[in-house]
Amino acid sequence: MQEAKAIIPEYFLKADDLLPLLSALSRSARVIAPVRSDWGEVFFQPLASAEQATFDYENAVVAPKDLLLPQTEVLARYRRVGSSYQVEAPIEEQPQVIAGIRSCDLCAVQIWDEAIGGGKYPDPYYLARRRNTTFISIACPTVFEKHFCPALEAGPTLESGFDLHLTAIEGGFTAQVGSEAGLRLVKGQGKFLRPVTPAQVEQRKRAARDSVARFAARFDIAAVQRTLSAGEGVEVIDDTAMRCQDCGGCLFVCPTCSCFDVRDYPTGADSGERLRTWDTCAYAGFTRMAGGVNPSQSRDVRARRRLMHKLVYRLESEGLLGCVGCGRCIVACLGNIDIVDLLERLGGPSGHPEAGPSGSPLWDPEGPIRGPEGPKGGREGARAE
Amino acid sequence: MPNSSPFLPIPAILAAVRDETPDIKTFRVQPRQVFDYRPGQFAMLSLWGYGEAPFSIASSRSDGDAMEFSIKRIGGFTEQMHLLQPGDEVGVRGPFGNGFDVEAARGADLVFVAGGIGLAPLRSLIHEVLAHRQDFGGIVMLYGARSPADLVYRDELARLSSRPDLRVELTVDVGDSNWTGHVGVVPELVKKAPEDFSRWTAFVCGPPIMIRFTAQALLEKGVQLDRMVTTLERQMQCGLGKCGHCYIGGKLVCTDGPVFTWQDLQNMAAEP
Repeated sequence: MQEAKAIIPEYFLKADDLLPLLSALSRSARVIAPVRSDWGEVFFQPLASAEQATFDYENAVVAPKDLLLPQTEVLARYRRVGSSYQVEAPIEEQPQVIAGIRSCDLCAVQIWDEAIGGGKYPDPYYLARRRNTTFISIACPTVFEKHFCPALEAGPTLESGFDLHLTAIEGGFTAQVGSEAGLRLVKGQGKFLRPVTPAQVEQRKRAARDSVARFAARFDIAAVQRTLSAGEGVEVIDDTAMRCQDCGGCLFVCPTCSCFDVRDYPTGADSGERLRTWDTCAYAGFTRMAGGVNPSQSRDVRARRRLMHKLVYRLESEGLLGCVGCGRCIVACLGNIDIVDLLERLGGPSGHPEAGPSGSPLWDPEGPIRGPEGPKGGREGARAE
Repeated sequence: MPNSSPFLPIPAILAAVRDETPDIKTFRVQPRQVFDYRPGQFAMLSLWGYGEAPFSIASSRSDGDAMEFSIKRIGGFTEQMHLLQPGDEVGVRGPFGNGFDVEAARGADLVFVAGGIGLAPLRSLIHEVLAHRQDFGGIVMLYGARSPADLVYRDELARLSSRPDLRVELTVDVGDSNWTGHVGVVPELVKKAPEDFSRWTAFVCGPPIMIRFTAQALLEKGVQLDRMVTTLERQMQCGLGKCGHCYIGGKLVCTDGPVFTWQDLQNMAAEP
């Protein structure tokens, strides 16, 4: 994701033109968008026709992360030939457009670009998908229940770091271009994108302000980081450990989690595949070595390790927080662990009165108008105007 | 797009397999491509159908083109390794990790302290140092295992013991009828050593509990935190800084380590 430092080109997209735009894009790329299931939940699905897509939704049950790092993928295929092996790495180049991704999930992709796409050994499987992916992100009209992105500067809308970013206004959407990929999309589909008027830009800015107006942050992430880094918050970690059922659900649904396991699976007597699958540090076996030594055997060690990675270390190593406030882990947890409760106990009002009264609901329709406070570090441009 | 991936190993041939102990063998591996490495780095060994695992490189470039791995039979992958014969093919990926800071050790007095198979990673540095013996000061090597039969590189240790330019002390937890050396744990050798280690550089490797007690003994002898060096072992699936398994105190053992000073570990609030 390229940071657009210059003035961001902006257009107007009529509401009636959104689905035709997806239709047009599907002629040259696989188009993925939120689709409502028969049970009423929304999942990112490849579209058979544009009419399947819905943009009237809160967020998808799972982030579209498997479109960049599949839950299972083949790293190598091998075949024994004589006493040696023939080996190939299937790296695919398939253009895809992911439409309807929320700001939080797009912030998670920025983390992946550093963690998986960057570093000393950039991952070619990820990079092939990444350079073939164009995101059409869409601002949330409000901070939905169980979401807390403003406290982490990961939404509900973005100022940069996107390809094409939509914000709902009267009669349609403003469409902001934030990258080369976004620019290519706009150039190819010019007939759907009209010049934006100053009034429409004002509407977009108002929508961004309104979207955070009713959000009251219950914690200060900098205070959370101080608590964790000092090795404090033991009782909170212990409580988390007690509730954790080792299922890994919170981490499988987490848009920022990218840990994986590598295993070989034979496909025949002399052939097979080396597969990469998602893995999670909630499992005790995640750090167990041959012979049984395990530096993270107990749940409290794993709970602290997990929180430190997401909330402290990722900021140090990737420059971005490892939590984007999507709230999916709260929904997934079998042990009733609520990360917002947890963050409040680690960095809530006791040390930070501005973070809001203890016990205040995360989303309070009658609550005070209050945005995120102070520098939270790391996610430049993610906050609403 | 070239069909290249850092996950694809280089084919290599097993040039020799040597029994060290009842459950440890040393494998001499000849990669089919140039494989340049530094002491203390590691490689992922690959067996198609069985997966991969990380192993310290137990040799130094001064030993030639082939490299050696000393591998204890302790799980599924190592079980398969132990079934291999000279001439069989394996895969290698790497080299990975930071390795030992040989330059910083140049001119210094060095004490190597190892327990069990922990001598393997230190051996890469010992070979490098002995290949340039005149560049270093005093050298002491303290090594222990559970029993005399569990000591690795016994022929080599005998040769080193006879050299006048280094001191080698061996110990075992439990001796046998032929054993005339020390009996006791490795940290005891540190405590008994006549040298004043306060300005020495220490390299420690072994099981986590051995490292902890040895470090304590060395600290009591005055070794500085940033001159006590250890190499860590963690579960790893990639070696590339991606899979997350070896994460510890904000660092990745595969790319930031595996070599850390005791000062590093304190900064990371991490234990071996």
